[in-house]
Formats: sequence, C-alpha cells, structure tokens
Amino acid sequence: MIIKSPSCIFLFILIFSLAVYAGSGYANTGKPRTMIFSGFVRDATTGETLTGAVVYQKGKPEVSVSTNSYGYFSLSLPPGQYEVAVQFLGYKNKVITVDLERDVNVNVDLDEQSIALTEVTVNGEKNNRNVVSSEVVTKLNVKEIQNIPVLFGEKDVLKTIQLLPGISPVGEGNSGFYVRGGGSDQNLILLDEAPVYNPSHLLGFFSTFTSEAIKDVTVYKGGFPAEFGGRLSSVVDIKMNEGNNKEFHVSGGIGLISSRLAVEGPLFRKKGSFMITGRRTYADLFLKLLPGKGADSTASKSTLYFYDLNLKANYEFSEKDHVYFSCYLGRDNFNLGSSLGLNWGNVTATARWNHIISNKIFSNTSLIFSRYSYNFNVAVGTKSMNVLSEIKDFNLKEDFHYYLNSKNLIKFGFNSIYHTFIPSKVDSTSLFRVRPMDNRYALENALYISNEQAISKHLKASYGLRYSMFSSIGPGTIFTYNPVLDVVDSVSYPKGKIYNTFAGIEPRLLLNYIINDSSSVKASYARTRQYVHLLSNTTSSTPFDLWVPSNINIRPEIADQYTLGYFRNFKNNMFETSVEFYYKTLQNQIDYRNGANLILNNKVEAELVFGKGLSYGAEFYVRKKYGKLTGWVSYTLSKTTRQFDAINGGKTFLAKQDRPNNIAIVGMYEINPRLNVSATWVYYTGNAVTFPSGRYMVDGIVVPLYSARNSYRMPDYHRLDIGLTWINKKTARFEGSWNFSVYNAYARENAYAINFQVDPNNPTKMQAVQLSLFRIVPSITYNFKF
Amino acid sequence: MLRETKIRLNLTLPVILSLITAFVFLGCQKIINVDLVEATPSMVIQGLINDSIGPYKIKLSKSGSYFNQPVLPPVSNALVIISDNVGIVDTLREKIPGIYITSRIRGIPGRTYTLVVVSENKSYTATSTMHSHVAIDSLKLEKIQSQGFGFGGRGGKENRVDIHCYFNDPLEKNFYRIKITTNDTINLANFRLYDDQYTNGEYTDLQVGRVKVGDISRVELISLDTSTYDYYRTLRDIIRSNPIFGSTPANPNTNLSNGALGYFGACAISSKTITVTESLFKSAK
Repeated sequence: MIIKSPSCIFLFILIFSLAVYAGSGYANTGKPRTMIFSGFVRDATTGETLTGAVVYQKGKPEVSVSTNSYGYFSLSLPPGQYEVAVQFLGYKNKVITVDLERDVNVNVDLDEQSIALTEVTVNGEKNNRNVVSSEVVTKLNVKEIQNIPVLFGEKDVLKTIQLLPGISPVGEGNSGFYVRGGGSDQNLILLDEAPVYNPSHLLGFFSTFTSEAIKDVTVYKGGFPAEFGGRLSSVVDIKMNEGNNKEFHVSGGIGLISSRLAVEGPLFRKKGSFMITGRRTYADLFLKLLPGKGADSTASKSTLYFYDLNLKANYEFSEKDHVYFSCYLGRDNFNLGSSLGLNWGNVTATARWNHIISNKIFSNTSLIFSRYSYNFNVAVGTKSMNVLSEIKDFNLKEDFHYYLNSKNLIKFGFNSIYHTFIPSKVDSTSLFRVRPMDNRYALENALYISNEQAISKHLKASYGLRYSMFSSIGPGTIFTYNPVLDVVDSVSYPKGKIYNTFAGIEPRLLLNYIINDSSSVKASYARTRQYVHLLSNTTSSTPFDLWVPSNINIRPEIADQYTLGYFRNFKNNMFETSVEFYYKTLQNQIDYRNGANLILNNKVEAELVFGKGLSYGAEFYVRKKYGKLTGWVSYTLSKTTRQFDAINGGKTFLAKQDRPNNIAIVGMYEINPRLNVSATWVYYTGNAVTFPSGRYMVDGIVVPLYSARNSYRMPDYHRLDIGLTWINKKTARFEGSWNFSVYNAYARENAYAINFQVDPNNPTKMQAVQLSLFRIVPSITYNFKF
Repeated sequence: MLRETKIRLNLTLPVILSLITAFVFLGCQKIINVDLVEATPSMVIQGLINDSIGPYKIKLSKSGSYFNQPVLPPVSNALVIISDNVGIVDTLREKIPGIYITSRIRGIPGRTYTLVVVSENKSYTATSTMHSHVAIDSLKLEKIQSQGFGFGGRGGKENRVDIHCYFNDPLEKNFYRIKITTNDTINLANFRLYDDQYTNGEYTDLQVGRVKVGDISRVELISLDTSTYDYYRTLRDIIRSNPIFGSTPANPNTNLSNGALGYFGACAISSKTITVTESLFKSAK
C-alpha cells in the first residue's frame, strides 16, 4: 500500500475507531453477554452458497441478519433457546431450533421449490427484505429471469437489468447501458469481484456473461456500500455458480447463433466442487457454406465468432477456510480473408480465501487479475502491421465482516489495484508510420469502513467512508498543453516514480425508516470517484476501447448522488412496489474536441474537454414475485444534462444518456409446470441527437449546418418480445426444453441512425434516411440438463 | 465419477430447424420526414490565396434551409478586402454575384494575409500564413499493393494501377491536401489530407489515386497552414461521418470570426500531370 501523506492514515484510524466505538458503545449498554449463532446457508441439492438469505428469530423479524456474498451469517443473541427461521426467495423456508447455551455454528441447507408452489407455502411468511434492509439494491437470480425473451434467444443478464427502472440501453440490442444518467464506462461490472472492462461481444449485441455460468446479479444504482468504489454510477455484481458439490450434472443449449455447455460436479470427496461452461457462436460456419469462388474466396477464409469459457472451483479446507478459484476467458475473432484481422476480449481470474477468524469475524482475501485487450492486424502484400492494446489489473482485496452484536455489522477492508495501460503496441512500422502511444502505470488504493446499525426498531442506518487514492507511476512522459493545445512542456518520469496522486474521501450514508412490516422510507447519499476513463466518441460500442488513467491532464470524475425512496409491499409481500427519486451531480466529465482523433494519438489528452453533468428523476417499480404470473413494470421519468465550456458555446445541453420516459413491462406466465410464456415490452424516448438545421455549399459539396448540440430527438423506441418455454421431457435424470422467442414481435422499425444526405437521384434535393436494425428476429433454442 | 450417460441428443433436428428459421432481421433503410428547425442564414466565405499568379477569388454565399431551399443565394454588394503583412491592401470587386476577385495582391510564401468581409452591417475576418512551396518531385505508376485500401476509383484491380506522388518534405511542420483530377473530372468529396508528423523532413511517397490506361491525371500538392488543414480535416469528418460509428457532429473548425462558415487560407500549390500510356502501364504492372 502506498499512502502518500501520513494524515490519510490518521484520518482512517480516526474513522475506524469512531465506528468501532459507536458500535461497542451500543453493546455496552448493560446488556447481558451474548451467544453467537453462525454458519453458511446453502442450496440443499447443489451445495451452492446462497447470498442474501435472511436468518431471523421467529416472531421477532427485526432480530435478523442476511448472508453475505459468500453465504455466511452470524447472529448474536442472549443465551437461550430460539426458533430461527431461514428464508430465501425460491426456496422453502426452514425453521430450526437453536439451543444457544453456547456459540452454535450450523450450516443450513434450503430446498428449492417450484414457482407454482411458491404461492402456497410463502403465505404468512415474511419476505420483505426490500423494505426492511438497509440497502437499495435489485437482486436478480438467474433462475428468475431465464424465461425472459431476448435477442437471438441468448439469455443475457446485462440485457435483463436494462429492464429495471433507472437503467437504459445504450442502443438497440446493446449490452452497454446507462444508469441514472451516467456514462456506460461508469458502471463497475464485476464478475466474481474482477472488473470486466468490456462486457460485450459483436459490437454489443451479446454480453460476455453466459447465463449457465451465472448464479445471481446484484445491481446498485445509488446508496453504494463503502466496499464498492472506482466507478461513478453503478455496481453490477455478478456471481458465478460454484458448481454442484453433491453430484455431476451436464446442461447446455443449442441455438441458432450459438451453443452452450456446462459441466459441474463435486471434487475431493464433496469437499469442493467445480463448474466449467463454454459458449461459442457459429454464424461464421454458415459463411463457409456460402457459394464462394472456391476454397480461396474471401468469404471462406473469413471468420466472425466469439467464445466464452467460465471455470470455477472451490475447496473447503476446514469449517473455517474455504478457497475459490474462478476464471473467465472470452474472445471475439474477426478476420477478413488474410488481409485484416481483429480480435478482442477479456480475461479475468479470481482466487479467494474465506476465513472465519472467529464466529464474529469473517474475512475474505481476494487476488484478482483482469485484462481487456484487442489485437488488430493488417497485411498488405508482404508487409504487415500488428497493433496490440490492453488494460491490465492486478488487484488485492481484503474484506472483514465484523458481526459486533445483533445490532451492528461492521465491514472494513482495503483494495489495491496495480493498473497497466498499454494503449497501443505496434509490432511493425513497415506498412504505416505509426507512433505507439506511451504506456501508463498506476496504483489505485482504497480503504473503507462501514457499519450497518439497527438504531431502533424503526430506524436502520448504514454509514461508511471510503478513502481512495490514485497514483500515477513512472515510467511515463506527461505533456503539458497551452490553451491552443500546443505542447509547452514534457516531463519524463523514471520507472517506479510516483509523479501524481489524487486522493479523496467518499462518504456513504443510507437511512431506512421502517414504518411497518410492509413499508419503509429510505434516503441515501453517496460520493463516488472514478480514476479510469473510457475514451470513445462513437455512438455504438466498438472493440477499440481506450481506457486512460487520471493524471495531471485528466482529473478524477466525481459524482454525488442523493436518493429518497418509498418502499411498500402488498398482499403478504406478493407485490413489491417502490418510488425512488434521485439527484446526481457529476464533475470532471469527459467529452471531445471537434474532430478529435482518439486512435493512435499519443497526445490524446489534448483532445479532451471537461465539464459537468446533472441527472435527476423519479423511478416507479411494481413487481409481482409469486404466483402463476410474475414480472414487473418499471417507469422512469428523468432528465440528464451536461455542460462544457468548450461545447455548445458553454450552454447546457441534453446528454446522450437523456431518456425522459423509459418504460419496461416484463411478464412471465406459467400455464402449467411444463409450459411458460413470457413477454417484455419496452418504450423509451428517442436519444437526444444533433441534426442539421440548415445547409450550405463549400467547394461544390453540400455541408450540413449544425446549431445547438443534441437539440433533436430520435423517434421514440418501443418493442415487444415474446417467448415460450416448453419442457418436453422431464424425468428424474433428464430434462429437455424448447425455447422459442420472437424479438421485436410487431416489427417496429426502430431508428438506429438517421443519415442526412443528398438524394442520389436528384443532386439538388436533400433527404433523411432512417436505418433500422432488427425487424422480427425469431429464434429457437433447445436446452437440456442431466 | 461421472455417470456414463448416453447422450442421445438428436442434434440434427435443432440444426435443421435453425436453418429453416431463416434470419429475418435484415437491416432496412427508408426515407423519412424530419421536421428541422431552420437556423437563421449564416454567411459562408470560401477563398484561398495561392503562390501562383492571381487573381484570386473569394466566394460569398448564405446557408439556407436543409430541405426546402433548392438554390442557396450568393451574397452581393459586400466589402471584401485582403491585405498582407507588408502593407499591400486589395479591395476585391464583385465580378459575378457572390464572386469577388483580387486585382493587385500576390501570394508569396511566408507572408500573412488578412481577409475582411463586411456585409449587412456585420464584419468577418480571418488570417492565414502561406507555408513554403513544396514541389512534387515526380509522379509514378505502381502496382496496386493494398487489398481494397488506398485512394482512388473502385472497380477491377486487374486493369488499374496506383499513382504515387513523390516529394521532399521540408524540415518544418507541413500539412497537405492532395487533389487529383482525372480526365478533367474531380471528385471533390474525396479528400486526401496528409500531415507530415511521421515523415517530417523526409522524401515522401504517397499513393494518391488509381488509374487505367488512357487516363490523364493532374495531381496538385497543396501546402496548407494549420487552420486551413484543420478546416478540411473537420469538414472531411462531417462528409464521411457514419451515423453508427461517427461522433456527435459539429460544424468544421474555422478561422473565420463572427460565426461565418467556410474558410480563408493561404496555400502553396505544386502540380504535375501524368498520361497513362500503354507502356507506362505495362511497366508498372
């Protein structure tokens, strides 16, 4: 850890002691000694740990704790005999009797239940986590969302979360998304704690997450816990399946575009388990079938595919030590004959060690590696050029969960990331003269502490501080620019020299006032700081991602977000509803000068301009959780603007993220246990765009005249997708099902782009041409499990 | 151990079904009506002073509605003055509506020229310094090397060759625009711009076009100053912009003041002509 000024350490120690003092002060109010009930909650059939399962004293739901992301819980109670209930959505509740004359450690296995049964058993039980918990999150279990129809029938968690309030897609069929007016690079997308820098395949039409490999997804849009940081607008925490530790299973799917296969099973006498999944698209195999000019034709030598591999294994050394290793590898390959090649993808690897220090203190140590890279090569005759670009992280993360007493849960830890940015490494200069861009190195450190406190029966709070630091490390040459962007100075720093550090405090606060069992009001404030930035001035996502670190020329992005929400459940928690308001300000946002060149430009920092952002809105959400019909309706009313001195004459303009109205309706209906139908409908206001407001001639060419930025709108977007799942064979050993889906069922021609041009048939006439991408896309997938 | 489960999956059926369910998602294009707010007409100024003998022209016009104005009006009766940094002042006269020509100013490398236009009680100015003259050393025909890259006509590579332009780049920052006129036709939208950042001071070889037997091509190497180059570069971005991969469009960067569109620049031009004879073509192939 590198801490530049000693005052930072003092500050941190101060916060730490204050938090512990606050917590212990509570514990010392003359209460008798307490006993500890702790353990893991797991799925009875697969042995997967369950995150967010609620453990509470029966009849006293306020004495509760939920399992952390490793499935662990610890509950402090005065000595005595208790009935403790454990519950988790989609599983049968379990009530166990605990004799707390001394500390008890129990692992609880929950049985899964089919959706049809859910309605009956859940009756009379509390499932009001969304109301009573001191967090504002949306958690989606992959099982709950598997019937939602999607493009090409590829189940996709990133596309599903775009149906939640406050989240909207970057564009048609795109896995990139905006959260509450933030840029698509302001989302921290974690796969088993490893950041995934470019979570998309094939220009964004697919996300990198194969549904078979995923257990659940947790989305934070605001009220961020102190343990998360590094991005401004959201945290999308994706957990991979751990693999069944009881028996071997194979599952998979065969679709139009791709096929998937997953294998899982126990390891080392059920002390561990593993899971491997793979997916590959084969559209290019059809290309080869095209009638070409023999084996030598460009089509037959062209490739266009991607694949994903996920691997996870875990081993329980003892009751107190559990290790996990997970790994992801995905790559897109595109080759045009032998003259042009482009491939890109992510690699992540996470090694984690869960250690129970005492039954009150849980620790997790993670070593994380993450890399996004692309390779571009061109060959002309005998000459060739290869460009490699990558961003690479080595990351050490340490988290402690200290279950101080039944009213305080203290979390603290640190995170240290060593970033390597290789914007372009050019192998040959024989073809084009290209000057490679300088590599950059940086160390991103963060310390955090937070406390989740039950202040009274009605008031819960979660408060914390995160202190983050970002140090630029040599070797590196930093240019200083004058106002007309000429280099006025350049300073080179030797290897290992820390030449610039940004640091700041990120306070986090969330208050939950619980009105009664079924309603609450939550308010939050969070400051977030972001030190790495994605430069891209194109409207769609491309593999040519250029991540740049903060340094003298690029200040860290900062966001402050305030939220206020009312949460209310109806009909024994069958319906969850919420209204949330948010107000978010953004500092040091990045945009580009007119005609900016971002590719292979060593002085790219001179092409950037900096400004402010603002986003505010109201989000309405109704979700039906049980019964034959499940699903949700979300509506977001919002406004997002940006203001840059160098753009639009300094006047505030609508951001490309601005989507005033955004509606998503998701419905899943179980006709019988073997037949499910589903539908989603989305609607959002068209993007704010810049259209010409006149034309003129220069050198005989028609040139469009632009006035205010983003003062027009694309036509509104709406689309209906429908799906049907039919389990055609189900035995104890084997399950086979067909999934049919239709994307854009009523063939709406949604505008992907509008091009203004001279009418090719009449050079004095102008025309606007709308490009639509997908009309009706039917697809069919066969899924199996044995 | 993994049970020996026989995978009796009938793989053929899904594959056949997937082929039958053809891809119906082809992108489609259609002409639509868009209501555009009409901006107040702006002054458009275009003019270059070069190092050959004048007169030089300044063209004044107005911008108009994007869809609803087939002819864009010229601007007449404006006061147009060009002066240089050695004290020569030339008031241009309007020869035909909107076209103003010089009478005595000369384009000389190294001199700085200032344009002043006054029309309808508004004045617009711009300055530009003429860079040194860079002569084309030679034009050569060469075999096409790239596969679909490069500049010039489309069509069969079999009966075409590339024109290469050779010149000595001076040891200073240079910006070029290359214009190629083949058989008296020029594709104005085909911008060829070149910046010497990687070849400063070197003997430079640029592929500038693609020709066939019988073509007569005139190549102009135009040495521009920074602001004119920047204008053409950002103009090219707009003309070539692709709505999918393009950036947010904006007007080209101009050196003209007071919201005028267009450019005023001083440039040095060198040109050479090549006739593609059968024998030249064969030796290149």
